[in-house]
Amino acid sequence: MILVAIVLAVGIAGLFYARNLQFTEPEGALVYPAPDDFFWARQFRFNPLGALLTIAVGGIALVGAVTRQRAVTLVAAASSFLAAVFMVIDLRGGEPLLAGRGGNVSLLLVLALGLAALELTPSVPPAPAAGVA
Amino acid sequence: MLVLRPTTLDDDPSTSGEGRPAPTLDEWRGKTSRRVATVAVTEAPAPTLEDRAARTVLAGLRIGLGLLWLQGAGWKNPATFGRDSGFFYDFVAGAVENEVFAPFAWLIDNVVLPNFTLFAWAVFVTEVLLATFLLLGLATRLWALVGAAQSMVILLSVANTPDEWGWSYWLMIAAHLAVFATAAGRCAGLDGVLRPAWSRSSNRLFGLLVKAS
Repeated sequence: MILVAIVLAVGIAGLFYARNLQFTEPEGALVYPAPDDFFWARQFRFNPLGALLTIAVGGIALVGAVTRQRAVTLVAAASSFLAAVFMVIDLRGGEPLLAGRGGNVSLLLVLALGLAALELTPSVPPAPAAGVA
Repeated sequence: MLVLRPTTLDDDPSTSGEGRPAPTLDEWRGKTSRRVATVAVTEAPAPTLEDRAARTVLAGLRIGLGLLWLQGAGWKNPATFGRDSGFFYDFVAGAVENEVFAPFAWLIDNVVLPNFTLFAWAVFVTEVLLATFLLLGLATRLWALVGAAQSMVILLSVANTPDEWGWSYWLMIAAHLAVFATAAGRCAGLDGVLRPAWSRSSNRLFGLLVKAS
């Protein structure tokens, strides 16, 4: 849930800062714009399409977490991974469709790998209760 | 901490409950109808304040390094990789102009710069993955070593560049080695959550994750 909350928060913030941009503006807008030498600068960059994509994969993950449906969570992980791969390929061009940067890719990978690790790792059986020796 | 605690199991409800006389030695030896069991109970020591503080600092260090690489990946624009000039290209070319270690400068000048696009992508992907794995606390020890190596490469590239403070890159290396040495992913990270399950699994991937965490 923490991972999902962070991704959704960043996506929603991205949509807020990109609200005045064209839907596929290549340059995008920084989340929490700050002077270049501020440590928070240049972490994430969104246009409305990129922000909505981030919110969408976060939303699928949220549904999976709330309903505790393993299949839904794995779909969210796969979607997030594919979105990250698409964003890397998209960045090769001079005018990226999603306006993301490396920070955006990392955010999507955090969600993808985090969900996959949690869902694909078998659960540990509870410790046996005290018994007769 | 292993604690041996005697307990009494008795099917007779009239003899259970409070107010029961303490058992005699014979009773402890099981010569009466009362069954006595010795139970080994594993009790984990309560975390001390120092433990909590240490774990919090280690988690903060790991997450801080993840955010550092997040910004490192954030300002590199793959669309400009391969061009003759550009922000990232200038940094790399500075390793030749402001030489720190001659063999490394030779490598940059003769191998990296002529194939800049390939190496720039490698750096970009590495820093994205460093941010990802350190923020998650997943396979942390492995990625801490990768981060230390990447920090060393940066040190050898820019330590003698004007207006750079070389000690900052030594600090980056030290921080990554600290994360490696303390397995900081086990503090508020996925390594700590999932390692018990990985340890019990016979799956080869999980075995590798145990070693990497």
